[in-house]
Amino acid sequence: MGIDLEVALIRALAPSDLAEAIIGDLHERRAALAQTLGDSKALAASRSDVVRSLFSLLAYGASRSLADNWVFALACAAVTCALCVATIPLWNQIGFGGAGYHVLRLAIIGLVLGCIPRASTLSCAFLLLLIGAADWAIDVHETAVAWRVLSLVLQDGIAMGAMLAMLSLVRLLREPA
Amino acid sequence: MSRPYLGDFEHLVLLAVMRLADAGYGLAIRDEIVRRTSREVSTGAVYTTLDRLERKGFIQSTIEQGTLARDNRIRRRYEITPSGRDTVGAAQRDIRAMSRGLGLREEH
Repeated sequence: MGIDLEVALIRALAPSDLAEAIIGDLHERRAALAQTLGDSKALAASRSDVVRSLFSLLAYGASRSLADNWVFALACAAVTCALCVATIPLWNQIGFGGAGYHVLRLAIIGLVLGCIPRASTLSCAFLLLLIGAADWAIDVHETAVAWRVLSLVLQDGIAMGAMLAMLSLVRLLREPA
Repeated sequence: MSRPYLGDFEHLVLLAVMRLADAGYGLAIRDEIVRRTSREVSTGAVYTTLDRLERKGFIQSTIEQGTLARDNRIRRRYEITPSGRDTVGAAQRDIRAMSRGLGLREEH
């Protein structure tokens, strides 16, 4: 187990072009520390370094993704949202208009957006914002209370987020350590 | 014309890259800062700062093949660019100008 967990965390959070160099440094530092401090202390130092790195990697990864991909992600989200809004009457007509089907559709959207390189998480985040705005604009007479729109967005977010998390897990398991 | 902004930690990382010259590897940069400043510095913080500095054009990196100790993972070697050198020089001048006459003593 040992360093595998750290490797998985770094891979999940660091930008892909930095991850391999960081993982290499972890191995090199751990090997050097193991010679002077012993294996268990070297492992503890390595873990502590990874834990202290998590926040900076997470924050930097998110900001870099936003800076690099926001136009592309926003375009993906806008097209998807437009399709969602345009097909609302269709789903009702063919009997797939219920809340359960809605969640299922959002999960499928999460799966599709999650497979698009460069903008998966960001496009889902933009899509949630647009869905919230669309919910508010379309059903303003029913959703005058903000929490109802928020609960709908949260429900959609959970459906898409679950798919994104599942995709990340699958990628993590498929990559060689 | 406004000068490029250099944060406190970015400043330290650039100085470490300059000190290490041809050996400016991520791990060495981290160790250099820890050794000279006694700060607790994480590998993640060093690499995110290095990447930010590279995007600002203050340093450039080359990728080298990994060794057995690194589990054959690549390593990045960082070097300062002329723009980075100018920016560090300007930041140092600012610090000196602001510190002058305050009676601050350098510790050795």
